[in-house]
Amino acid sequence: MARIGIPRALLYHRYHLLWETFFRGLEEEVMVSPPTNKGILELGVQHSLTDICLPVKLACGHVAAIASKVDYLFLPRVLSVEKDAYTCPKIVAFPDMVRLNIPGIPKILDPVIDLRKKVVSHERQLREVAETLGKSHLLKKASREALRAQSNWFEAEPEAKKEASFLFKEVGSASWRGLRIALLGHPYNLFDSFINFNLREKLASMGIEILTLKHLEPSSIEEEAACLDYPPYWTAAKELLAGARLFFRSDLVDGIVYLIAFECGPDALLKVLIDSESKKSPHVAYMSLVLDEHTGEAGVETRVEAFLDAIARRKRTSRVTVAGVR
Amino acid sequence: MGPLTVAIKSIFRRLGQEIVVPPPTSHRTISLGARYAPELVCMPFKVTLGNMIEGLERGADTVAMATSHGNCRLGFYWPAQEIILKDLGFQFEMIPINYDRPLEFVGEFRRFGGGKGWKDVLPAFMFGIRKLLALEELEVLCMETRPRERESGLTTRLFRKWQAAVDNAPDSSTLKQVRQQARKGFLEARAESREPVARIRIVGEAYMMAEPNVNFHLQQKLGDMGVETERSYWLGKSVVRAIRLDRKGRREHEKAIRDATPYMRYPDLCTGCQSIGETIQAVRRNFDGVILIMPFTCMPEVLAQSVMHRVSEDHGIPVLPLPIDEHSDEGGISTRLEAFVDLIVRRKQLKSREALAGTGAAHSARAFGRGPTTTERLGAG
Ligand code: SF4
Ligand code: SF4
Repeated sequence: MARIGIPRALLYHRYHLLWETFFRGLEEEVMVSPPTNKGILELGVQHSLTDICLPVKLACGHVAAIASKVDYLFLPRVLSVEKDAYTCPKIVAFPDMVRLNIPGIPKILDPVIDLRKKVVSHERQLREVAETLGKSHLLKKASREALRAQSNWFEAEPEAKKEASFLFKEVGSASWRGLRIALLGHPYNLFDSFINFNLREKLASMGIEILTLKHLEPSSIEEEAACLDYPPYWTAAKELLAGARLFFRSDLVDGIVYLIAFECGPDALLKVLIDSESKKSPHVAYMSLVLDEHTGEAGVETRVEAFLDAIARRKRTSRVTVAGVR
Repeated sequence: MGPLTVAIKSIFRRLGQEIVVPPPTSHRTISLGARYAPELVCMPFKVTLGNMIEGLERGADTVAMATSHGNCRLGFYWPAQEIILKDLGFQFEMIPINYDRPLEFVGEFRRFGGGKGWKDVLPAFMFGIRKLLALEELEVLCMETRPRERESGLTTRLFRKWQAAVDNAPDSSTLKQVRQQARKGFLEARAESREPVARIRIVGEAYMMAEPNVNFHLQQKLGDMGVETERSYWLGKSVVRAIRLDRKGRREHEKAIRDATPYMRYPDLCTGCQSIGETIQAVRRNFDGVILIMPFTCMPEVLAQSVMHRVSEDHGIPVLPLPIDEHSDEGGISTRLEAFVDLIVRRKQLKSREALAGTGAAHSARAFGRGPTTTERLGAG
């Protein structure tokens, strides 16, 4: 039984169920790097280029953290997950970055996943991997199980970090209780608690209801994406834009916080479109938050605090106005 | 006025249309663009946004913007720019021009042609391309002449003169004459006794490479330091390649991508690999160093940059990555360039001393023959 290492980074946060189930199905041992911590960030900074985006930097750190402990690293080259759309080019080239920049790398399993032109079954995509591992006979079953597991992604609770530290003033204001906030961003910005300073858990523990794209019907995101004026050709960006529009138009949330990794290519442009959507829906408060390795926790909290206070105030006034009218 | 502007102006003039030429890119352009663009976007977005604003201020009602079907940001420039400009209150039609797709590209020009058919549009287009190629040849001549010029400033004067001549050339035969005379003029501007101190190839992101006003006049700066430069990207060539007239260029391009394979296993999926292949080509063609010019946060070039140190080690060629954004300052760039040129000149001297001790004669003979050969190549082209 070989030990397969998977960095807890980038698309792992979107496809963890698929990947882990698949390798278990092949009867291999799966080793996922631990949740991001300071040490991993330091490793990442050490083994990557200064000018690359934080999520890729962290991914390098995750790889470095487990490289010596596994027989194989699973770093799929996910070029495209649907027709006529791409993922980010940095994700495609990530295995090369790892290979050439991090010392002591074991053998890399890097199947190319490219559904731009035609749909390729999951089984076909990963045949090469199963062959390398000498597990072709288990491929069919493993693939089927993996797909079934992944279909639950939208319902699956993202793992939460237990010991959240609090800097928020007086551990949150009472007026925030009951607010509904949507967090928008790439899965690795939302579900990696290190990169966003536990924002999700902190807000939830103060009685704020947190929604993400996971709370929207996958089919409604698809429908919305189909009628975008300017559909982005990066799948993640397209989903984000569609999701943002649904949140802005609905009464689901009081505010939206868009988390952007500094130096993220697609998000820099997507922000223009989401900003412009926000102008069309002034009743939903909106802010964007740029994260990089130098962002301080206190700075993020101050901005989020101001944002929440403003929403709470607005809700109060609108209630007063409504009462006055009556 | 850049080569592209001259070419496009010529196309429209032939079609009997009026076109608003935005003022040349200036500090104002860049700061306008930077003010209204999202902070984290790459620099070409900001500069072209600035150009658009300045064009619209002069009364343009249509904006044409280059786009592509790749996976980097270029293909999504125009929607974001359209939204920003409309928010600013401008009214216009935005036309994305995809020059990866040859027929579509010419077809777009037909739309502006005021009801003219292919029969008029095609020759106008080809003439525009010819002007573009002529202007880019002038730039090549500058890059070769400047480090050898007889008196300082002569190259720049010649360039201005011949650029105006190309712009004014009414037909192909005049243009041909202008090109011949320009070649001769530049050749005469060289001093016999001067040889460049080094040869540097410039690779990287196309826009930054081609726009002297945003790359701090990189070519000229290096030329003034006595360096002969060459660029891996020329708009004219890439258009001709896209409309499939340039077989050789195509092959070279494909070869560069193949050369990059040891560094990027699936190079056709990552555009940055081109810079890697072009760096390896530079070694084969005896360049002394490579400058990787890129906008800060450029997605493909950041990938190239992240493996470039390995390319440089493996092939023994110094590479200077030069990320630029609107906060870059000219002084800092100059200092880095000077240090880099120093480094490669010293390295070169060391090498030639070693070579002299061994097979010196053959080496210097080749260096000697280099000047005339490059000119011949241009003469043929
Ligand atoms: S999408 Fe953005 S954050 Fe993700 S890898 Fe690409 S540049 Fe980095
Ligand atoms: S190539 Fe670089 S600079 Fe050009 S659009 Fe793409 S990311 Fe931006």
